[in-house]
Amino acid sequence: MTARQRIIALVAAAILLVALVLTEGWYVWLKGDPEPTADRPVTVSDLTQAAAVDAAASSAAEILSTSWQDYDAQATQAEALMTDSFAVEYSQTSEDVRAAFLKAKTKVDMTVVWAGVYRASADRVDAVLFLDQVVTRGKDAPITTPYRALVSVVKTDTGWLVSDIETR
Amino acid sequence: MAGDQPRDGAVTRQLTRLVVLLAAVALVGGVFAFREHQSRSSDSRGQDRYGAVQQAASDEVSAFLNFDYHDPQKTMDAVKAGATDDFASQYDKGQAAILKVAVQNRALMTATVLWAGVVDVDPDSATVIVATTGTSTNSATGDEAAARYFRIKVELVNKDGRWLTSALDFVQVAL
Repeated sequence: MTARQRIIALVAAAILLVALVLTEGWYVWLKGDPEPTADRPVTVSDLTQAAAVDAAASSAAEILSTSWQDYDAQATQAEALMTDSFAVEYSQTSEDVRAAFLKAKTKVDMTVVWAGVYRASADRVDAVLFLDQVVTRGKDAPITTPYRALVSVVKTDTGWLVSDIETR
Repeated sequence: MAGDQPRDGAVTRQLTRLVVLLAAVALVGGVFAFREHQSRSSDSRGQDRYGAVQQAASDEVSAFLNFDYHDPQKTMDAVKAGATDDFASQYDKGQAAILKVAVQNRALMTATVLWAGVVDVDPDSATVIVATTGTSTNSATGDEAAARYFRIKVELVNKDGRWLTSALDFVQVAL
């Protein structure tokens, strides 16, 4: 092999090795998790989805529980658990029912009975919740109602925030 | 040309060093990539279970809640097809009397699964919660369809690669 041929072979080897190193780096650091599908609704680790479902459950219970005694403070606390866009939606609904809620001296306690993961990707998790809602109005006896909810949380720099709550 | 030989030799030496260095980096990267691949493959096997148990629980709940008094056996067969032997036996004993009343009352039930959430899953067992929407029609509703919403907890076991229901409970409000 001539010197020129050796150089060409070494350059080719160097190019191939650079491509290999770049591919390895992409696979290890840059290749994201796949998107959820019906067959594989969860594409993150058990630990990640469990943490997100816990956040969805505790946040939903806090957002959906309120009392005429500290209605405004509770609403402010609840908004800290939401994305900006959902907080705007929540704030509007909260304002719409405020007068009737305070007048009837209403208290709502929401308890999460069961929580499970419906769909989970690295940046968004949808959790199914079974909730018991206890509503007390003035001195009337409390009324307990079963609810089901799909709560969506998205990953942000400050942790998992609620982006939607659909109750049925 | 003869004058190029020393320069070619220097270039060759430098390129050889570069190739050796790149090969070392590629080797280390290969180890990382292999470990990452193994970890992802393991996660992927675990992740497949979520879809499988959601589907099995949804199918069983759907079989359980869709009922037509013209053909009660169809419901019983569908439920038992997705059940463990123990649960199928319990269902046979418990449902026989209920189905008799249901036939007398001209009961029709339809249900659709809204959401199925996996509470817990491992290679052998799973707990799934299922929310449904649907209607119930019988003599007590004046033969009119009344809305029915259920919260159901399903326990499943993995038997030879098939997820079978070992328990199915309606989740009532805690009083």
